[in-house]
Amino acid sequence: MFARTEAGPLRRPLGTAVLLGVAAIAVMLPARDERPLRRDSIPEQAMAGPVPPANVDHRGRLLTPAERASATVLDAVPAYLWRHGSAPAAVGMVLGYYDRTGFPDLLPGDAATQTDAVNEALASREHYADYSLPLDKPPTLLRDKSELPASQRHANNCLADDLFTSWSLYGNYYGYTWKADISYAIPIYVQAVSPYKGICVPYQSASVGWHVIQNEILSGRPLIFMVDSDGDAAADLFVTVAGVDTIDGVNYYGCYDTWDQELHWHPYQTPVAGQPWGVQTVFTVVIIHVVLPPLDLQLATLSNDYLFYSESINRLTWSANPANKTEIIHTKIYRKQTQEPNTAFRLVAELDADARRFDDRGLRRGQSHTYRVTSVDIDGRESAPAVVGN
Amino acid sequence: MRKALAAAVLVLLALAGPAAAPAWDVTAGFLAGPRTASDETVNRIYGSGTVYSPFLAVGLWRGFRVGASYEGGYSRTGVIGLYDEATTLKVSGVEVFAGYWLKLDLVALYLRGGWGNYSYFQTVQSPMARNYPVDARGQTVVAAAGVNVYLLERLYLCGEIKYVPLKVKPYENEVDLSGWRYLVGIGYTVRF
Repeated sequence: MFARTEAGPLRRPLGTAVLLGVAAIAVMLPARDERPLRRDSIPEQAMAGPVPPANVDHRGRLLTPAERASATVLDAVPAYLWRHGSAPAAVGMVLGYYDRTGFPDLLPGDAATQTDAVNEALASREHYADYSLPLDKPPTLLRDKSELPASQRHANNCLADDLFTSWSLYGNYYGYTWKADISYAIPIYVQAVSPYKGICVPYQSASVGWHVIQNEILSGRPLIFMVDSDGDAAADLFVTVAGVDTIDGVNYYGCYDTWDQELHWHPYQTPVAGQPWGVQTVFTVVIIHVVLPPLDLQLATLSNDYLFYSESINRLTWSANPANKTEIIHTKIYRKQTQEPNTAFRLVAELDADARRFDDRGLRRGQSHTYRVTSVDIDGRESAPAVVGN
Repeated sequence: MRKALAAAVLVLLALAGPAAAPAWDVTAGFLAGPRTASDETVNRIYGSGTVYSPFLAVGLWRGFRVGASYEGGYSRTGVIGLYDEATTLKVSGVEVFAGYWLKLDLVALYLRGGWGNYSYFQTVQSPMARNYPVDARGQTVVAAAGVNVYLLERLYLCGEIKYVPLKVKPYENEVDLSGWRYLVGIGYTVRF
């Protein structure tokens, strides 16, 4: 066993850690085609090709029926093969799992198998033509269409595009993907194809205890590992982790390695020369339902007549957003005078979720106001605002 | 209204002729009865009510009298506005008047007109009401016609129809508090 620190953010309940840890990443997504240029501080690439190199034994531990019975495996994780890179397939398997477990639209059609439609979503023909070709391998990097101006490149239309897989612009040979692009690509791809939010956080495996890996699998969240498949102490392959097991005191992760459709079991350890399948990076992935604001927000200005005087009222009405998949428990109303800056919005009411109307009373005649109305779900997440003004 | 009232007084004066009358008298009485609310909104919120009106008049010459009266009793509750908030409206006033009483045996017909100072007071159970207190007065002319039926030489029953046109505007809205009064009561006259 390798010594691992037990400290670190993943000591928290994972859902909380993920949500807190990546809030900034999740809410500030760049446009799908406007990714920042290289992040050279995290230089690791997955370099493995479509078949295992001759020096790689990817079979791992063959579990006995009893060992297999004691393992925890997420059976809904589909087994995809290398698709112009290990990263599109490894990420695609995680998305395929979520697609099959309550988050449809992440992949087209039935995500259980690697259909043509799924393959197109992982790495499209356009991606292959523009960025994989001309096929290259070290040491000669051949220029591809990624080096054209952004306006002349095809619009990103698959995971491999979002992962910059094979882009010579970023120093990727055919099938290569930088590690740093995993956590960037997942939110962008999920946002582009679905109403959900994708969150991916990378952790150095040395800071991730086995209990965290176990907890993720037990919680129904497959992971992505970047592993050293050949034991040269350098990571070279992305795999999808769908199972955990502890056998004779050794912790094993079960992964689909994109080279076949079998679940392979390897000891969970950091990369060490001479010991293949060490784990360099752990990517936690969560797909969550986005909290959506109310629909049909309308504002009517009313006069409440008290005979001798009258009161100006702004009446807000809205309807519930049926697309919300989590329980909405509050509706929040913010107000500012129209000419004020957006920083002037102040909370004026927090209503029960079943409220469909709010009267803002006692206003001065002639003043115009702008309102923001948001939904808050049971986890305390607040939607983007619906906005209306008079 | 004022011109009509003056014309009516002149007509009665002409009809009266040189009737013999005591030098002067004092009459007092008490009237009560329903009053209407002319304005549709006031009527809808507060509705009609009842008023009472004690009065005192002095007969000066040939059936002409001057006097003063008080009107109270109109205090209504209701609900108001978009939220049906509880509200009350109270209207009361004092009047001074002059009129002519045409005495016909046991009956006296009369017309009178005058000036009234009415107070009105509204409450609304709403936070808004704190900023708009309604407790004010309005002045108006008053016109009434009636009949006295003498049961005894000095004691009489009285019936009267009175109209009080009263429009007020304490804030931005003008409100019509006008209304008819249909009053009956009893009076007593002391002649000197």
